[in-house]
Amino acid sequence: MTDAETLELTELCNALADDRLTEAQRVQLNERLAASEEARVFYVRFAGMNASLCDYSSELQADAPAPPKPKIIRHPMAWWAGIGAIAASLVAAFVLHEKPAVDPAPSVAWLTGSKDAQWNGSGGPQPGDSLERGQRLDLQSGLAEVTFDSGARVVLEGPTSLEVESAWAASLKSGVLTTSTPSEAAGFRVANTAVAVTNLGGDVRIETDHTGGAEVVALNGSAETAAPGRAEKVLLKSKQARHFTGGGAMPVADLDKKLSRFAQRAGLERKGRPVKLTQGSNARTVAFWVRIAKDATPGQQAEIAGFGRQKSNPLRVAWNTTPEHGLLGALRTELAGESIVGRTSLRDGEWHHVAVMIVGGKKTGRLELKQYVDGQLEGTKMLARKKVDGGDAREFVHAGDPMVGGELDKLIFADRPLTPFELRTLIDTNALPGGV
Amino acid sequence: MSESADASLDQQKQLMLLMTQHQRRIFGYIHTLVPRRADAEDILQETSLVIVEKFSEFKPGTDFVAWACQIAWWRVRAARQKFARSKVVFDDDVLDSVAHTAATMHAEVSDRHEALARCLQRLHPRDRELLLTRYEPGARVEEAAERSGRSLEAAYKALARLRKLLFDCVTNQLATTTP
Repeated sequence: MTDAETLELTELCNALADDRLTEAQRVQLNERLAASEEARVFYVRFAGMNASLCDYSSELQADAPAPPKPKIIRHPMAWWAGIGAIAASLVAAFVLHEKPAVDPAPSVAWLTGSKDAQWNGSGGPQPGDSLERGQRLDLQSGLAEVTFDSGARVVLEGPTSLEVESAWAASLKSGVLTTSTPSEAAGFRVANTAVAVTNLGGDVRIETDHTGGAEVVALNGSAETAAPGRAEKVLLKSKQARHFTGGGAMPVADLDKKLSRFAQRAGLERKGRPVKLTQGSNARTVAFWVRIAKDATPGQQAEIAGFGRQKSNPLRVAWNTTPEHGLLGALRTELAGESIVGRTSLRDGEWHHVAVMIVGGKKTGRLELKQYVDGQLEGTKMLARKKVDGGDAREFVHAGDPMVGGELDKLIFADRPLTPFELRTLIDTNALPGGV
Repeated sequence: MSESADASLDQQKQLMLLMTQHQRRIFGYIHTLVPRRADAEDILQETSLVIVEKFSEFKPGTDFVAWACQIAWWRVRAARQKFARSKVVFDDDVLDSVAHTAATMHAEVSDRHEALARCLQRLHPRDRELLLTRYEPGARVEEAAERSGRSLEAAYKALARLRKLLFDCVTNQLATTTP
């Protein structure tokens, strides 16, 4: 093959590997493979490499303890046939307007608690504030709790500097923090210059020192640790610790004393605005349980709930019927020309909890759509507009009445996006914190 | 225990040993013909069941991988009848040709698998994490992008670059070790 032919075939193989091969590329790939044994050999090597990568990735996963599946509450009371009655009394037509002048960074976390927190500089974040990707927190003294959209919680002990990187990662510049990850947030990662720590479920404390090293203590659960640039990883199980320096990982002295000291935790104050259920405008969270039949077909009604269908920017919640867009049966949310396709198949005859949230608005200069299934963040999309208003209470409509091939239960609308903790409480108890 | 029961137990042990040893290679063959991973895994499961049923027909001392891949080939053909048109990547004649080529490359693909482990170690941890996150069961590029803090398009580009890097590294490794 010529260099150009190899390049072209590589591109086609990559598109195939990433599941974004267009029909034209598919035809092109077939032509290339039909025409040349050399091309087929190349393809078999490339495909073999993909299979090997699946294998190595699975091996790594098998080495780590598998996080337990989220608890799913069964809901025997199905009322899909009666959804229209509830629909008539609830709201959600989303009216979008005003394009932002610049693209803001997406929000990936919330400040959810603090105690005597003093921040460097003027006006630090307050509990209830959302935190953007790339935002740096410089806590001078006191405690502050950050809850990431993945569900991971991090408590900072001042003086500590932390950069919020994504819903799944943060960078510890200096100081002390404790990460706590429920099962849905297993894999949350905190890195600094001495070590990268992946919390596999449980509580892990990380403390940097003035020499550039860091001490990592698995208080409970387990964490995978690795020094930057080093391939070997150290799995810390409950009550194990290592001190990382440029030279590698060393045991921690006086661990028992430290463990008993770390077990004493100060209480945090959570003063965020309480969440309220809404019967009218400004619905920012839509949450419900849904069960889709295993044999539901794409030809049937796939729309689970639809809002504001008469408006120019309706919110549509459906299960995905188009494999080209992602997993068949996964949750698909559409708003303002953007869509999110999840990675959990709802089409399995089981009950799943779905939450769709509109985050941001005029104050923050950004508007985002977030989608959760069984408490796990499945995706975030920045919307091109920055303001959303609630609509008329009577404009709620359900697409397809009754819903074919499925059931819906415990539909709620809340007046603000839920934090991961609130969402977990809703899933576990069918009520919001505070008994709402 | 009777002689026939002993023989049956030996056969089960032998099957388990062979499957443990070669399942990856059988999966690799199926995945080459059925690029969508979840479908390839389903077919591997079906193939494994047929292998168990037909194992008495396998002649010890012959090539187990070739025998198992022949069964996998028929499962792939059968599965194509069930697939929606959008899930079929290869035309029938191309599939035949690729299957034929793949059947002659089991040993080479296995060598490349071993070499790939060494090449993966050479990657920057951040790159390796992106790549392995992408290949986690059920994961998609979107998730790998999110977890690595990259945009989706940047993740696609990085993955393409890393695959090229690994492909060349493996080829070079085999070139230097092959006499």
